[in-house]
Amino acid sequence: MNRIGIIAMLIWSLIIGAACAFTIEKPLPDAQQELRAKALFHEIRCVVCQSESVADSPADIAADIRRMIREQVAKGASDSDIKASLVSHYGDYILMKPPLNNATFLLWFGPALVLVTAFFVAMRFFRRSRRIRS
Amino acid sequence: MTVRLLIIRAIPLLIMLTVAVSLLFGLMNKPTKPKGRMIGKPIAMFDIPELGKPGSHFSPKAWEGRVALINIFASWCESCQAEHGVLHALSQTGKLPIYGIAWKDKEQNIHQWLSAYGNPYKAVGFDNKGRTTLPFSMTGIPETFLVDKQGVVRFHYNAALTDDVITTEILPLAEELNRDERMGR
Repeated sequence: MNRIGIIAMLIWSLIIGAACAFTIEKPLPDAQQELRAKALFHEIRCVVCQSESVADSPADIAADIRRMIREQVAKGASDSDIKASLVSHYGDYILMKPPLNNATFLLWFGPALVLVTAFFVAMRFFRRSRRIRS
Repeated sequence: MTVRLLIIRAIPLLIMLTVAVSLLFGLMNKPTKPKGRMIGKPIAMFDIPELGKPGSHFSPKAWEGRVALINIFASWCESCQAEHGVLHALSQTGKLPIYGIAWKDKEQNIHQWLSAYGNPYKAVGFDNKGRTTLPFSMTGIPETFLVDKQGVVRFHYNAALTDDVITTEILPLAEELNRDERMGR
């Protein structure tokens, strides 16, 4: 009986949770557009919670940004237009994936540079040690 | 040969140090909110009702043509309560008009809050839906903006205001903006 009660409560809380998630935010009527908006949510950082995208964040401001994205998508704005508009508000910071420019060049190619350098250093190191041994 | 051995033995230590230093850096480096983005920009248009007046309009036009302080607050926000006394004191001096935007709050709660702690605002916009979030590039309340007569943001503060910020930063800047523009700059 007790177990059944717990299971019933769990199911009930799941239903309530799902109901909340779906009633608070109205998806766009056009399924294609909604899909585009959802894809964009994953590319936009939540400005309150640092390392979450607005797709995953329960923060109020993330909800506002989701609504703005939906409105813009419904108006027919392109993905890059929407991102540019958000960047004008919050800076490059708002993009989950930093854009490639002069300031972020090292961020993008730094690891590859380190790897290549390490490879050549290791080559020289091993070649010399083989020469010494032989 | 011994030197080479030493180098090889030092590699794990070097790796460990590299990891330790980067972790330490990560710990010391406080996460930052995007800040100061609004300075030098006008506030984009929004349209919300004025508090207690359904169907009315409250927009950047409310403070058009004057140097003004815009404070975004809510009754559920503890830091807003902390800064409220400071705002109230500022409003008593009459040096700078303060406009409020009540953000994501219930109308009744705001009325209660304002009557309990005093109302320093010339007018209050009621934004229960977050229509002002993007126009102000908000990251979390309280947020305070100083605009010049052209409606351009000159100062932005996104934490609870203190007497110090008001007397050393906001008031001198507001005075300067009033003076400059009177001289027809």
